[in-house]
Amino acid sequence: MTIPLHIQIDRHSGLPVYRQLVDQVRFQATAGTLEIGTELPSTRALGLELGVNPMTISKAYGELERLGVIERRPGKPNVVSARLAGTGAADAEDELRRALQPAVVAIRQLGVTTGDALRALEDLLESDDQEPRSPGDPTP
Amino acid sequence: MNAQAMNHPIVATGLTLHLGGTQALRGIDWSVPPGTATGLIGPNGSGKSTLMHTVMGLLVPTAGQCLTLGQEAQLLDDDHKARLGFVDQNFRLLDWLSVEQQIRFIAMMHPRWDSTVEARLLDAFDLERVLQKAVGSLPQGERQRLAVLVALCHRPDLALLDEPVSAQDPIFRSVVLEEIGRRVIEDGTTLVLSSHVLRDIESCVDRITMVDGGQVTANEDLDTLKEEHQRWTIVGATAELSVNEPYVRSVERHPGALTLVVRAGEAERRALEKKHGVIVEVRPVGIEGLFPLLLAPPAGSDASKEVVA
Repeated sequence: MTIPLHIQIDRHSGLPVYRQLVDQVRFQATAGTLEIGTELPSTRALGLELGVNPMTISKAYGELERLGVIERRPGKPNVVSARLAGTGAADAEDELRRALQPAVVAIRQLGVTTGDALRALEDLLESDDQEPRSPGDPTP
Repeated sequence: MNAQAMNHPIVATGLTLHLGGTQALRGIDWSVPPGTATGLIGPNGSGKSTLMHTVMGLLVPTAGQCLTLGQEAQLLDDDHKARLGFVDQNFRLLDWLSVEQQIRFIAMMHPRWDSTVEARLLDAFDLERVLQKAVGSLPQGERQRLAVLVALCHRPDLALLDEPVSAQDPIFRSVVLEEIGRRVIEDGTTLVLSSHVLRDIESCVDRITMVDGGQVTANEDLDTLKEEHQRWTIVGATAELSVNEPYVRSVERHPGALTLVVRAGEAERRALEKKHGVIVEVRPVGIEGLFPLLLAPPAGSDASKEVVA
């Protein structure tokens, strides 16, 4: 059984479509919302769902395999790789760094000191703790 | 022609066409890989329609040649023609027929006509309720959707669609594009669709061919273009700072900041930061930002890529 992937593709974004796919699947696999062994849709099925050329999906799957996020099995659906289990902490830190990168740009542009920026982040984390979101929601 | 291009549904070499005293096509080398959707873009009058008509064999080149599905375009036989789909910019149809007669007339000529696709498109394009109306009486939007329908129901291997959504409102535009894109996803159809507004067709293309002044000035994978280009902003750049590395494609000077569009990556950015002692902020380049980079450079303009904003 394949489960639907929660992927949002923005065709107008400056980010390549295949890159958006790779980033979102990798994030969900690292966050655990996509469990190890989860079967992924075929390139054609996902292509139809997202309105994306299957060749582009295939390129994304290839990159995800190279990154060790998924396993491609000839004649069978791709699955989320078990390899993630051993590298979870490092992958989570990588994802966090990627997610914080836009904040770094803003901090530089605003000329805010590192101390002030860290205090702002702490404040945000604290206020967020009081209103916990559903654990599956990857985006703020 | 390299070996890889041999199986490409369109391979044009040195394609030249004189038309009414002007050179409409100026030695075009162009090839389109199978199973891709190419957005053919360029300013009005740049040669997009002429190129499509030449690929269809409707115009005969003055020099050079175009191989369409492997056969010289002006000599296409019936078997090859049956594998093509075409929507003319004026979506030419037979005005005196009813919509249903028009559809049956074209279906009759195509052994591969698929009634499932026909039913699907009739429904999606909201044409069922006008089946008995005369084609000539249809509003432009419906007429254009009918032209797209009759160009796709035989599930062509190669479809050329000249401005296929120009008469659609935003809602039908996305419906029509989705159905056009579905042919690529389901059948591996190779698609070329033109528009002078890239944003109109962006949602269903994965390659871009830019036609400018009768020449193909760019023919690239859209993801690759987006991946390889970045917008760099150097905040606090002084007026003296000038960056003329070969990878810089355009420069905009704002008060207190310098914005560059570059075809470069991480390594080049770090080198630039070190060289000038600056911090570079990286953003992706949107499709509108890429558009000007694909146009032919104006003659003799090698000197300056800089504009003052």
